[in-house]
Amino acid sequence: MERERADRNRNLRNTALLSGFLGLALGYVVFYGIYPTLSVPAGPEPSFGYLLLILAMSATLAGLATERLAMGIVQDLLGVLLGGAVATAMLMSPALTGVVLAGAVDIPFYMVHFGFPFLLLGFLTNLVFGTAGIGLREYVLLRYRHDLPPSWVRNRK
Amino acid sequence: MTATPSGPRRVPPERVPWYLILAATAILLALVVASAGQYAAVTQAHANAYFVPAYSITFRGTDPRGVLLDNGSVRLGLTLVATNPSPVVLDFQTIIVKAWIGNATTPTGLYLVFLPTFDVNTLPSPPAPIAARGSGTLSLNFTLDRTSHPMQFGAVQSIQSAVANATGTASGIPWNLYVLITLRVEGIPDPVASAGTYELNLNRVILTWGQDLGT
Repeated sequence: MERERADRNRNLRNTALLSGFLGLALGYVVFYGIYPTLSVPAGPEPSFGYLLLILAMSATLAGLATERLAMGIVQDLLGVLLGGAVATAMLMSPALTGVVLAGAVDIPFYMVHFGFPFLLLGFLTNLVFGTAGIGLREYVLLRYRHDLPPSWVRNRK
Repeated sequence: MTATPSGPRRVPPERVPWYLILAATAILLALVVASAGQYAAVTQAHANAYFVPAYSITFRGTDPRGVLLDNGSVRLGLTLVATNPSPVVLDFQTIIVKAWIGNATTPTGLYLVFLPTFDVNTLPSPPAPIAARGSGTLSLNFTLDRTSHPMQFGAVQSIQSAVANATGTASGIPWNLYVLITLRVEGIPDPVASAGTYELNLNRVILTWGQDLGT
């Protein structure tokens, strides 16, 4: 009973952390997609390879840390929501210097209007590379646990 | 006595992704903060940069009433002081100056005399960049005479003559000045031609002063 609760809490915590990580990556990608000339690194237009690299890397890493496929899908959905929130926060950053470009309600719509293709790309990339990451975890990463001393390996359910 | 594992400590494999995620998060956070900071800085330049012109119009070669002689000239001296309250560096890029002389015979009451448009990089000594949270000055002179601009020069002469005939002097004729300057934001690349319209002028701060009465 206690063990189940601890596992559930760990899963919830991991899902929250990994969703935040995916959201951070996707938020950056959305902002970079909308304003490639003002992002770091800056370019005359968004580089699809760079976008894909960021999204694929973050999704694969999140997948490697994900224990169950169902959690991976939840993370993907939450990651898209958090990615939108991160991109919106970035678009609101001028307010920190006292410059108000638009109403606080308008900016999320602006973000969705111009950033929708990148949100969709992020959702699909997270799904594909996240699943690949979970597979890598099961079939490659955890194989090395057999090489470890028994006392260092936590029993998996 | 407690036994301890010998040799270097090994990281459990399920923790490896978390260490990588930690490192990636640090990199992504740095990119997010830097990008948002860049965006805020450029936005601040667009919203808060301004300039103040000081100008003088001088006539050389006039009759006693102040009307231009055929060998006379009109000189427009213009000093632009641009203030940049943002943390980005701005460069003077293009300048458009329009100066109208008061003329009661036209519908607008004014006649366009000066219309120079140029890239400051074509100047013999281009102005220095405007430092972050600093200001920059650009001084310009334009001369109008019968040889270079016969039509505009003739118009000024006619207007002055009409005013002098009515009032006895050509002095005190009103002028209207309009100035548009473009400041380029250093470090921001030009977007591709197919970029969205909202992107096209992000690296150019366009400032105006005065009333544009058209051409």
